[in-house]
Amino acid sequence: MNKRTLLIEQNEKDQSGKVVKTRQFQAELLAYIQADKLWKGGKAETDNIRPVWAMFAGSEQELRSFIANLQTGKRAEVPTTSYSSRSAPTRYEFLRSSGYRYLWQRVASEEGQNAALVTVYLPDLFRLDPGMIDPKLCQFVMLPPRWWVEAQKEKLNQDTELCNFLLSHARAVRLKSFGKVGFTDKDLLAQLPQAAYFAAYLDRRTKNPLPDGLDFYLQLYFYALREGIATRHAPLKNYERVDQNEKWGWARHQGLGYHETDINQAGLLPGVAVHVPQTRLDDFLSWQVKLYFSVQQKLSARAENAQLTQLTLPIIEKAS
Amino acid sequence: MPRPASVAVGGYYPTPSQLIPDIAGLLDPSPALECKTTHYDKTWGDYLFLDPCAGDGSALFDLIRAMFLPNNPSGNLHQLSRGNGPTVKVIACEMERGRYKALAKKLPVVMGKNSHQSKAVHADAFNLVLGNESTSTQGANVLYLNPPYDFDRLHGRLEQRFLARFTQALIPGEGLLLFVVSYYALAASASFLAQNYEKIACYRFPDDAFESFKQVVLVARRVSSVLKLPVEGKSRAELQILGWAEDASTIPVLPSRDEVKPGYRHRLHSYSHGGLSNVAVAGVDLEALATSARPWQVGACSRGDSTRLKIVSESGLDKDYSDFVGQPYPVAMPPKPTHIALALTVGAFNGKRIEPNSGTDAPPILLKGAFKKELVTYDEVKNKVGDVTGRKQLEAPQLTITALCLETFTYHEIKPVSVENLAPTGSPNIGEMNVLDILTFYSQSLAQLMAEQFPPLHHPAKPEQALHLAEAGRKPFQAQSQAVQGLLKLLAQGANPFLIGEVGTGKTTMALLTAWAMSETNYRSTVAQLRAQEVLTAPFRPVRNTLVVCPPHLLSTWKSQVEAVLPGAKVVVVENLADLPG
Repeated sequence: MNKRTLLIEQNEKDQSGKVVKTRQFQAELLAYIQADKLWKGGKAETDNIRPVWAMFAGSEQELRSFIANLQTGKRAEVPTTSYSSRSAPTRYEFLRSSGYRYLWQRVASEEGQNAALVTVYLPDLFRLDPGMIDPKLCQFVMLPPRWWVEAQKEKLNQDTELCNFLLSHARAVRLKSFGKVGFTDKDLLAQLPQAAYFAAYLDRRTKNPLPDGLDFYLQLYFYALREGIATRHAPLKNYERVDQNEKWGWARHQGLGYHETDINQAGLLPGVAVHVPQTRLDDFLSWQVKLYFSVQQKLSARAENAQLTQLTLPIIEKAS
Repeated sequence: MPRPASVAVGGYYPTPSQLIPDIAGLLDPSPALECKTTHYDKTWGDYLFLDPCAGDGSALFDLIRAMFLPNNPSGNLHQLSRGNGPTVKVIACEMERGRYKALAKKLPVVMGKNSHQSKAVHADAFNLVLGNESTSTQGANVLYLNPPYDFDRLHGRLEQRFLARFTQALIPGEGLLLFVVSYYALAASASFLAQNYEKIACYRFPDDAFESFKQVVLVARRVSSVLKLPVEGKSRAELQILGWAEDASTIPVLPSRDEVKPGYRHRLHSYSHGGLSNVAVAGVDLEALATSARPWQVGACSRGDSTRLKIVSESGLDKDYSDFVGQPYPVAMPPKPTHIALALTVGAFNGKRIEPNSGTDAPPILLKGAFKKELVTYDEVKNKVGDVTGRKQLEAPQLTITALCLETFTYHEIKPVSVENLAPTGSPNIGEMNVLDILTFYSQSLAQLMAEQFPPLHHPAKPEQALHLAEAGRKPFQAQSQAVQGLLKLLAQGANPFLIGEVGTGKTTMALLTAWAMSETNYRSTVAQLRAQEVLTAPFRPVRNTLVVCPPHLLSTWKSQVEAVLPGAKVVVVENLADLPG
């Protein structure tokens, strides 16, 4: 497990030169996400890390004070050791003006310990329903938790007929051959809950009506990732390259600046970020609905033919 | 709630140093200074002081020095035990790193060569593991408790949570408590103190010190076994503590050290084996904690059981994958045709195929309404030379309706209609249609979708869904009666209904009739009817009193309306709490 202990940055004096009470509380940063291009605060030039999402862990009392300091605009830093004290510490900053939201999950153990997990996030990027549509940009981050995806997969697996139907569409739009590694039927079905969640986010951020169907959602999800409408986690630094031989290499677009750190140890599955002008999204959706319905027409024609063959084959066999 | 700035320093309010000698004066250490003669030698006891929220240790160390070295306030305690005095030990815990460093630095200075028997711990106090606690022979002799002042989910106050946790570490029948808190916080601890402590006394800080945090110091001795509280009512001790918590003026001011009469001091035992076999910190098990992480859920749970957590609704994860788009939305009453625009904008038709009316050439479509976030400039800020330096803008949502033609699979924005031109184009071509054309060409399908997507809880056209309302002073109109039935059904499902209508539609009458149907007189009949229709799914209790909150100028209107609609009802205008009927 990757551990990252953070300590509230210590200022002995406040801005007016008055000596302040010390407040060096600590917490463990379990995981965090950066998406600097998706919000105003991320675009400022600073060496500090400004996560759009983060999960902290620690004892309940100490975490409470730690978070209160973040809420009052204090920065948290990785404590320097004697070896690393020459370089500036890595600082994490949660701008007070950005409207971060804080979610508490208190966990009591059998030994009577009180620990807690706190999620800090920018609601404008993560909430499913933005209320109104931004006429210029469509942007959001979809972050599916493992507990929800697993429950949905279980429900889906019970419906074999639906799964077969979805796979026939997925095959027809060639989702299995996306990327150099490709996808098996099982891989594709495993992505269905995320695809539906992604479509729900997109639907609430576009004026265009979308066909209602898991087959369409799966197609939309894969094509959006391939076309750079959406991205999965990608390296932040320009000199780091995406490995195209990796299964999801084709879905990682560095240009969108979306970077996840250790989110799997916070109970999350890989997230997806979207940052696209509405005009480009309109074109993409027009293409996608045409593709979807044309494939649907072909599939239903093929199904009709198959049905017809089934009906006529015994007659032909009899005649011959 | 405490201010965030207070939580940010860990609720750290050090006890005023000038008061420490007076607090020390509440305890009598003289028995501890007497020696006990054993068969072999003269010996003194061991005395353990425990402070789970020690800060930089100033208060605790000053207290000990004031008790044992009153004439040498900078001396160390090793001098005390060097053959002619008891051994004093300390366990002090502090969570904040800067204060802990100061505490750890002071400890050897104050304790001298005895410091190896004492311990400064850097931890959240609730993660302390104290060996031998709650045994009858060992534990702390003095618990100095000045915890953060805050609320707590389980104990009401965080001070009480600290008290409950660390009382266990005091020697039963012997250990003394010094509890420094705000006087009002005593209410949350009254019952616990009455059960676990005896000889309880309380003193408020002198006025200048009291002003800041309204602090008091409560001194008491832990009982040897938990006292039973009366089955009915409260014990004398509990009532006294509650009285202190209610009114600080009933609490005597902390006397100066010399003013305390010897008989009123809490005496340390003459010979004690204070001490704890082990002091450790149970660090947070990060791996186990991370395993129990349930992102997008909030609340409290135990490890391995997340059933009590709540899903954050803005994540949308309270729904299944199949429910994200175009789910039905139950309503109280059937929607009217004019609600179609609303239905479109809330996404109720999203993803639903809309067929044209029979006999028309229009194509089947998917339809979606959405509000675009538009900013309208209503003022400009200019500088002296007239250049615009800033703009004041208003957010003005703009409704757009877009259709997906299911013949050509192309998107088309539906044109709005203006007040000047309220006419449909009549064109069946979706690219040319305006909003009125949509209503004209697709009315049947839209009406059907409205019925499917908005199932009503109460349908006036269905006689089997009617509720018979009890007669009142005023007979409601048909529409009012239906609205009251809808309100009752919403209440029966645990909802808090809003009744919204224009001036003169009879909202007051309808609200009063709803309360009347739930009154003790009509409760049985209403419940029976709701039960018969299987809409009663939440607790539904009879209403004895109804509180109306309204602007002052409507008070007389409400009074006269109640008299007209419910003639037998008694109306009281509440101007202060004493006006409330007992």
